[in-house]
Amino acid sequence: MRPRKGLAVAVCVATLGGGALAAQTAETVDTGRRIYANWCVHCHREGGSATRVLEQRYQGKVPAVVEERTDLAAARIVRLLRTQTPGMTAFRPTDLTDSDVEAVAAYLTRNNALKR
Amino acid sequence: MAIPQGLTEQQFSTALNELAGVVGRDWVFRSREILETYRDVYSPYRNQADEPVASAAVAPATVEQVQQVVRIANTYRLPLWVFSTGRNYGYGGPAGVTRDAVTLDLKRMNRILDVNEEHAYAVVEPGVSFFELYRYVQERGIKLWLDVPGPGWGSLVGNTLEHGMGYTPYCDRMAFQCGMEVVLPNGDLVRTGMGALPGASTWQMYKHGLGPNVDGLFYQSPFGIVTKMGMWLMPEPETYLSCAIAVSGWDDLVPLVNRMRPLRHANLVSNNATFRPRGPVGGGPGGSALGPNGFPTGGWDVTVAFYGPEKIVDQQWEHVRDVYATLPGVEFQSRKYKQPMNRDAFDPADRSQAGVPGLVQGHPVFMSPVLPFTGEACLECIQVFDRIAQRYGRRYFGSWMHADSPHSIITTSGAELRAGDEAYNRQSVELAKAWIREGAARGWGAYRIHTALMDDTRAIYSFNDHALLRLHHTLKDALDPNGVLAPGKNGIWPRELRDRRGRRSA
Repeated sequence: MRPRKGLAVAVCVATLGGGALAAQTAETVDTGRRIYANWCVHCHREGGSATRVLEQRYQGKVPAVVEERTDLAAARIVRLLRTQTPGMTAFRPTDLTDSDVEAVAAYLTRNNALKR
Repeated sequence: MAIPQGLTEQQFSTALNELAGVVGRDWVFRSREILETYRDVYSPYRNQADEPVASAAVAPATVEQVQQVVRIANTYRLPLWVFSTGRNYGYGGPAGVTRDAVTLDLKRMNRILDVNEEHAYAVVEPGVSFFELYRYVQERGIKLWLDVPGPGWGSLVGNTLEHGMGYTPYCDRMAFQCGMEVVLPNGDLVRTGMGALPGASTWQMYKHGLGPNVDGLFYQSPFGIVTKMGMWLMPEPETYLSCAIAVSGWDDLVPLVNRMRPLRHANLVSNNATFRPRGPVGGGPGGSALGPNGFPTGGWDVTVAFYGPEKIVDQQWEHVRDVYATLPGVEFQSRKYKQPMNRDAFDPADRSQAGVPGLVQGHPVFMSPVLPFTGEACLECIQVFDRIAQRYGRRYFGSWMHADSPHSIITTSGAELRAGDEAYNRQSVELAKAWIREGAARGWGAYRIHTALMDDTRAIYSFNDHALLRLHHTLKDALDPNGVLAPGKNGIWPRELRDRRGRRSA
């Protein structure tokens, strides 16, 4: 299956922290939630190894559990998922397609409107 | 961007176009952005001129596509470095040995072909991770347990082929693999064991088939691409008892190990007895308080588990406690789980022995020797490795030691890396090489090795003037005359590269 470059149906369009626009639908967010549970939550759950690192880094200024954030930029999430860092290895297109990555970004920015 | 040796840019481009014709243009990668994801983020040569980076990547989705990719590779003499999910961190991750290989990424081949509860086995493709198979089994209420290593996002096929181990009674996972399908370097397709019989009803039930068993040829190997694998799984037990035995003295490791050996021989302890230093010792900075002999004072523990009817596991544990009861200051812990079991709710310390995948952190340059199953050998290894580490201004106080086999111990030793510190990381490679050489002088060899150390490790397996390597090269030349598959894998090189074996000494 070819990674989709965009999302076909936009029920709403949310302004995201970094100024990028991404289409969010309940379906996309749900897809992102599922992908997040499969790939990310092992390290980013409460008490997970990544969460512990982020607790040290943020010192309570923002939630260390990434799912609780309301200030993340979708474009930044997309870039992070494709970038190698010693803290978090990159995901290849065979791991997560472009549309998978966008869905994760949609999931992690689903509550950004709450902040505004 | 690197291109394979001997090819012009035009020839390489033509070859990639042919590959795109097989797998689809979207699954051949040559952009800098995507190839970045095929680098080993934990490479000791990260961002250096000799970091092994791929020239391109290709991701087939079917066995037929793998066959066609291999045939094209033969036409153009494209070197292919193969991975299943590319998470073999600490051993090279997704990256190969050489700088110019085309990565053959099998992650898209992620079908779980069969999970047979009655006969307790699974058949999977190489892209299936431990997480994915675990989820599949859990969601369907299948009462079978996997054996899982530390990194749950790794491939069941890939990790098993690299001699990866878990923590259940099926921890020596190679012993529980049954049947393979393999694409040979010429593109031919082979099924091993009973799989050679068309329509066989026992491919995953009987390992041997007729004639020489060739499955071993494809372990840690540049001789073929495994596209299907059968794996026996463990029936969920009626009761699971997770246990730990702790001792407080550094030298108490000797009786802790030695008293376990007959228990493993007799299968009274059937799973991977794992010996661990207590406290933050490891190879990094900030170790625990040192005793008068220079070693930490935290002592050791060993984790084991028992599986089966409650009255049996209770008696097994009672017997094991009797064996250790005379050790001064010994402490015992256990937690029992009965049906119905919710393994996701188990205490985190009990999950790996119950086949629940997780993710371990820490990716040094691994150099993990196999030792005799004696406490004396374990302590000697730590002392020798620490003396060597001190020559490099470091300390080494031991790491987890695994009795996945009843007859040996594997110590998961590793030289620490620091992100962005080139000098330190090159020194880490030199430290690991010293461990290899000086360990070999004592009769210890690694069970598996980082890509940066494959030639050095191969060099110590030298009986009769490297007769085993000559045999491997004879096989390589017969099976892969164009030398396309995994050049340099575990020191096995194509004929034309053999005279300058090893990229760092080339």
